Amino acid sequence: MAGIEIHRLHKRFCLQGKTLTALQDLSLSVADESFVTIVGQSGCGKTTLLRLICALETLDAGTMVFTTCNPKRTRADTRVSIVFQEPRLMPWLTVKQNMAMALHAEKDPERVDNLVGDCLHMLGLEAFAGAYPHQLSGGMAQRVALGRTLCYDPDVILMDEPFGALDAFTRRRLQAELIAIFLTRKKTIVFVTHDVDEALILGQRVLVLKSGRLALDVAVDLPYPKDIGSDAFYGLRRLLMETVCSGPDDWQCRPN
Amino acid sequence: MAVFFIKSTAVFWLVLAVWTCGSLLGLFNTYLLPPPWKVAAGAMKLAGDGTLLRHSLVSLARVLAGFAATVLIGLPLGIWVGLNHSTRTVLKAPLDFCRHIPPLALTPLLILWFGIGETSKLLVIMLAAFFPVFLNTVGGVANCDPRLIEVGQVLNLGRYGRIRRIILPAALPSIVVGLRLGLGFSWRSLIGAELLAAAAGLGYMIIEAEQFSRPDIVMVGIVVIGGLGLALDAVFGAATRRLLPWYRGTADGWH
Repeated sequence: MAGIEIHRLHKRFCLQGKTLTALQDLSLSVADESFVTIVGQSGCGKTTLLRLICALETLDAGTMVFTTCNPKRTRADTRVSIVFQEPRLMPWLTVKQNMAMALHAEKDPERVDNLVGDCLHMLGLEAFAGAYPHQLSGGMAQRVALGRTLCYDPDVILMDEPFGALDAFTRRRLQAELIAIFLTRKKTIVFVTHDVDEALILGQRVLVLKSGRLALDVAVDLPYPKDIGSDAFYGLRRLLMETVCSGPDDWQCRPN
Repeated sequence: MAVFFIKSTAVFWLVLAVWTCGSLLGLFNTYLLPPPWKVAAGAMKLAGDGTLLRHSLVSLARVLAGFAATVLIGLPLGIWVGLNHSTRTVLKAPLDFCRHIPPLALTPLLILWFGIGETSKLLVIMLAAFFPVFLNTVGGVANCDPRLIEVGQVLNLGRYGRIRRIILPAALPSIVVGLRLGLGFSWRSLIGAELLAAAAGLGYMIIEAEQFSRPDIVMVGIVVIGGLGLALDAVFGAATRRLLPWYRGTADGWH
């Protein structure tokens, strides 16, 4: 298990000759075994932050360390993985094989079978184990992508708007499943979304990113499953909405 | 199934009907276009004494040997070039130069250098099949969806693992298209090479029939060449569907 400490992070991109700042002077810490959601408009730097944490991008300045309560584990031991916006399944592999891909380092085929079997069972995918991605609905495919990440058994799970393309009903169910996974498996989860409701339903803590900076950091002291009709929920929702929507739109100052 | 058979062979029946009616009505000069029954009789005779089988087997053996050699060279080379962007930059212009030279144009030189034996015919096949195999492999490898490669990165796959588990399987449909095109190209160019210099093979059979003024045998040769090409492609297609069950792409032969 691991938490994340980010200190004075900067990230710039070069786009058609112009430099644009994706993240500036961002400091935040994510506690071990906590569920943090990040909201913001398109272009506020949420995706960039996740890509930096899982080392798909390199940071221009600042530091990022993974903290752990186990002193024997070093940074290199920390396993970080991400569920992308799209399922990104390998079209040539079946559901089961796609999930087993996360266990490529495991030599014992029986152990791979068991671990994948557990994941299939937990996500209700057993009937689809032999199906190919093109035969799955969007919700099923995203579930497989989540299963693949769970099979990898990371300390930190990053999620980049994974339910953004799903219908409201499927999304609701997957949110509930994700909360159940968080409660049973005790992972650190950083979940990015542009949906304020989703951020509040899932997170123990919600961060608002605005133009590459941290605009708000609020704890959500409501027990799971959260009562979305409660006054506390409504008050937080209003606060988040106001913060996200205040000021100039992010996509106007920063293309892409 | 019956409907499929009728639909997929309808054009052949139509051509045969027009050809038969035209010949019966005496619309065609029988020397320029021999009637179908004469061609059929010629085919029966050639099939009966084993000539047709012998020429077909010689041609098929040549094409399979040449094609296998091309795959052994073109596939690894294509993977290597596809993975290395800088090699692509260096090799693009020279390869484009070579790609536009039809193998048949090189036949005089090949005969001069290697004689009229099997070597020059194998080289013609290899030259014809190389570019479709090579270029489709390069394209398939180089155009692998970077988003899938990122999945490999976050699952902590090394470079070799990413190539083996993501890039190559992703390139497979494109490679299959290249192999299929290459097989067709080598079949056509082989017949061309046999027209120029050979002592056996379907191309040789045609050129010999021309010298003996036997247009019916020329027609038999043409029909057999087309038919065998069709059969090769069908075998290849069936193998593809078996080996790549998830793949339902454009390898159905429309290029």
